[in-house]
Amino acid sequence: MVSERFRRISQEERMTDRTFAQLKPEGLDELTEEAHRRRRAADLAMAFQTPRKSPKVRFPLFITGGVVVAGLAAAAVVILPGGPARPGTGTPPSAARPAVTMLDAQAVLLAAAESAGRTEAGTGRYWYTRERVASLIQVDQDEYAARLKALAADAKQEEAVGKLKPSPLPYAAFSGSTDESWRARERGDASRNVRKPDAALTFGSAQDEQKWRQAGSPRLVQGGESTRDDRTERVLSIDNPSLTMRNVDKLPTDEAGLKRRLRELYGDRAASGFSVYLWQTGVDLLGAPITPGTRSALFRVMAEEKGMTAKSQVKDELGRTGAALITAGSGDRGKAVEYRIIVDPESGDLLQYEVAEEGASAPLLRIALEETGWVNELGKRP
Amino acid sequence: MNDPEERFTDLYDRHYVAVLGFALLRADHSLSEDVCSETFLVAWRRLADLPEPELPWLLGVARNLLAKQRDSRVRRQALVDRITALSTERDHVAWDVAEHVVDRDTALAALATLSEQDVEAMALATWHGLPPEQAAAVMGCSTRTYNVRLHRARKRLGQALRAEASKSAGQRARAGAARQRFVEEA
Repeated sequence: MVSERFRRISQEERMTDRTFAQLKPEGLDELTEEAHRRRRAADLAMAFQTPRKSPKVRFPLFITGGVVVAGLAAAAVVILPGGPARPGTGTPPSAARPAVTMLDAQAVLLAAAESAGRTEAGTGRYWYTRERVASLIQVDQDEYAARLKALAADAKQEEAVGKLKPSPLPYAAFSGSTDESWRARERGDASRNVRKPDAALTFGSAQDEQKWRQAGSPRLVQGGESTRDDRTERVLSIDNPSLTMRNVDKLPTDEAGLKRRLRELYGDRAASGFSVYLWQTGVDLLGAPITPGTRSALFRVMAEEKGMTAKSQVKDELGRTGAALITAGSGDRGKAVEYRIIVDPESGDLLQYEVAEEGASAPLLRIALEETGWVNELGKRP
Repeated sequence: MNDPEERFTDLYDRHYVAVLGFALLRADHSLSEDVCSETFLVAWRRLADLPEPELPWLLGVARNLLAKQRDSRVRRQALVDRITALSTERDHVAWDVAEHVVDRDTALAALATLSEQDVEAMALATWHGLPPEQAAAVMGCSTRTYNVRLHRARKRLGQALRAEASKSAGQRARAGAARQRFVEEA
């Protein structure tokens, strides 16, 4: 057999292979990872604005409410820390309660650190999370598809099809869903993701809803529950590709050690500042199965960061009370972006996180963590 | 993960590094990133038709996009230039530690004598870690043809390395003899 012959390679060929292998520049991996972070938001946004080909439908569904938001949430990952946080602007709707008082962000985080350190670590085969997701709908995809079809019907306009930009909605409407995931701890075990979209839209305000009605109450979202089982190992934290379900609980449990490790993971990426990196990584880790010690240390590391503001007694999407921490940076669409999390200082739990453009009445994305914990069976809850 | 956006994001996150790494060894930084973006845009448009596994298909698209850029002769030189440009002190140190029979630049010179297809066959196997059937898909040939190319590439690179090694040994010997003469004459 030919293939057999080629499988048996000689000692000399192995040497040649080794020589060749070492000609690959070592720095290549770092370059590509850096580019991945830098290009991700723009590449995804670009794709999602482009019509897809489908074997059945000429102009299939693109741009769902969550899509552009997903891109923007990713954009928030690469925002550069700008000026100081602006506590007065863009009050998060979830935090729009009158009895808000300013407090010391550091104190909130240190309290959370204390509480987190007192909890016990669990274990299991799957890490379960259930989240409530609200995404600002940017585009009416049906209307966009209709415009594309009209263009495509005219042979002369064919070129313009790829360039047609969706127009933003003149009102704030949100698609909501409950997303559950079971992440397998062991490589090779199947993981499961379930998304249950809400039947109804929600609106930023009564006026927004009225404008939507005046526009003919477009449906804006495609419903349909989806369940997917696969053995693909998901990225736990985009900024930290080396973290996995198997090593995330081995992160240092002391403040100095964790800070050192995070600095290592952050590396020498000059593109985004450490503080923005820390916020995004913090959100990723607080939703992941890190140990109570790491969780406590993480809050302490975050407490050292400057430029955060805090508000007490805010309510999250699910009505739970916590303290909001806010930081700001310059977004890549020219507008400043606010990044907000709500933590419960009593338990050290992350309750909710939000990304919002400065001055916008509604956040682009809001995720409330409903439940997390270990289970031993797919489909089971803690 | 039934919705296309999520599937695409997952595809992008899983393969971006591999696709860009592939492009970076064939084109400069900004062109590589553009080719990479374009490759994923093609993947998005054809999301419903993507074959499994996806990586060879993605690399094949990137390869076609890159092929439009320059002719083969320029691309072959480009690979060696790209490796040189991307090499750092660390690569030289690692090379010296590994005690190869020739120095790194000499090995690159040997690589430059190979045909583009030969280098590519080896790169897909050694650098990108693709099994023959996937590498064949990237190069757009049969697995059998790919195996033949890989075998030939190994042989040719081995020969080129040997030739370079004896050449540099000869140069060292000549230089040594010249030095010796100089000492004697002095």
